[in-house]
Amino acid sequence: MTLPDPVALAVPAFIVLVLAEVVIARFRSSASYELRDTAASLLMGLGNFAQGLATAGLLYLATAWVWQFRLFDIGYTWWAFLAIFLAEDLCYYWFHRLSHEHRIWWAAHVNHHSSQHYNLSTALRQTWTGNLALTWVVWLPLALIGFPPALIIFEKGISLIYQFWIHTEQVRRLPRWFEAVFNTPSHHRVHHATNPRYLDRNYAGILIIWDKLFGTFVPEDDAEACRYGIVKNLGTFNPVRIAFHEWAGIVHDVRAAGNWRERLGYVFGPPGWKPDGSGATSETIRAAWRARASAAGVPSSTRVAQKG
Amino acid sequence: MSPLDLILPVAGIALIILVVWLAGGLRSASVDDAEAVRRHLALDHPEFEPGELRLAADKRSALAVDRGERRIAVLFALGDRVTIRIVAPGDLAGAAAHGGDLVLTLTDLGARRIVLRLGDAELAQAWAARLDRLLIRGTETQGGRSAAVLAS
Repeated sequence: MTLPDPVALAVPAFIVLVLAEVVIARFRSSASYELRDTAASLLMGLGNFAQGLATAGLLYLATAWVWQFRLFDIGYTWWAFLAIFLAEDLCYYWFHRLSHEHRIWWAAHVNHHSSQHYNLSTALRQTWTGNLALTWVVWLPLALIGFPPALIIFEKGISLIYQFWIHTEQVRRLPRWFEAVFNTPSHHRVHHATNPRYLDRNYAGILIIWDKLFGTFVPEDDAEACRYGIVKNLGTFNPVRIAFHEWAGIVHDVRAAGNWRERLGYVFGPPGWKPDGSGATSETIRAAWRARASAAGVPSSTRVAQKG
Repeated sequence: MSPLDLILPVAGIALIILVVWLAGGLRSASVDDAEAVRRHLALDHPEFEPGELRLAADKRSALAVDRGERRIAVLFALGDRVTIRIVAPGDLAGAAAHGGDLVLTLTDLGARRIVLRLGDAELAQAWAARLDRLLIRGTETQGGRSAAVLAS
């Protein structure tokens, strides 16, 4: 069975929707697009497209190699499309969570979060180094189970397309049933925010149920506007620096490390980790925020990140 | 893969950039006064207690020294957003005055060079010397390893 490349088919829609959002934001007097930020995001997208072309064959070969040891012959039955939808989305959740929790994969993913804006162009600010960092291994179990490689790749494309439209501030809330099941602009705004309450939450791709299941869900609170970006916001619009700054940071820290525990911590520990415990990781930032809120006498219902 | 698969994204990028520009997308943030500095710091780095503050003459950047004089906060405009870097010993590779500009070179590739237009050569030199003493030479006395990294 030959499946289409959904991302290639979606490119014209990406362009039209970004243009539409620029115009809508202008009429709403929303400062959601800044020229150099947008250019950086789009060039990151173009670079991701190029590296995808360069590594697609290798990824397909790796997936096909694992597939020859498959446990089941799933093929392209109707239920296979339903099953891959769920299974791929679960893989995406764990890929995404691990990419935030371990610096070696964060180095590949951080560029997607590096804009202080949140709009459809941010969705295209994609990684240049993810495939080199082997983040694709998370999806290999799907081939081992027996999903055909082409079906896995097709579903990854569907997931990427779905996640495009949720990068917007122009949509506030969708019907309650939809917000309960699916990842939405509201849920994903939380994911891109650096407010301690929101930091490193809502990892979902298409279905928000995974965050609710694994305790990483936080709803958007209209009383606390999202502040977008990363803990150490970048001082550049240069796509090359955006793509590689965290890798350079890892090299810098590993060279300065005094022993192997420190070296391993800098590579595989959480982003912001320091050997003496003084680093600003998501957990330490959240703990400090809770302590400040507690000292200020803020009620716990508004202080503690709500889990789904 | 057809040529259209490449031409379409490139043409789309060009069109989007043009429309964003026409929509007034080329904007710049400002750091107008000390209150703005404190407000930005309170929001993004509430643990940082600013002591002495210095605003750039062009109102596009500012410096704040923490009360313990162990770290500085550098605020600078990046497009229409104000970005903050907390600079501790080991984070600063160089501080130099070029005319009335104070040029900070950080060890971080994500914000390598930050220029604060103080508009006064003596002031820029004084700040360069102070930051050098606080965050670079101070590192040598606090821990040889960080200093060795900076020197390498």
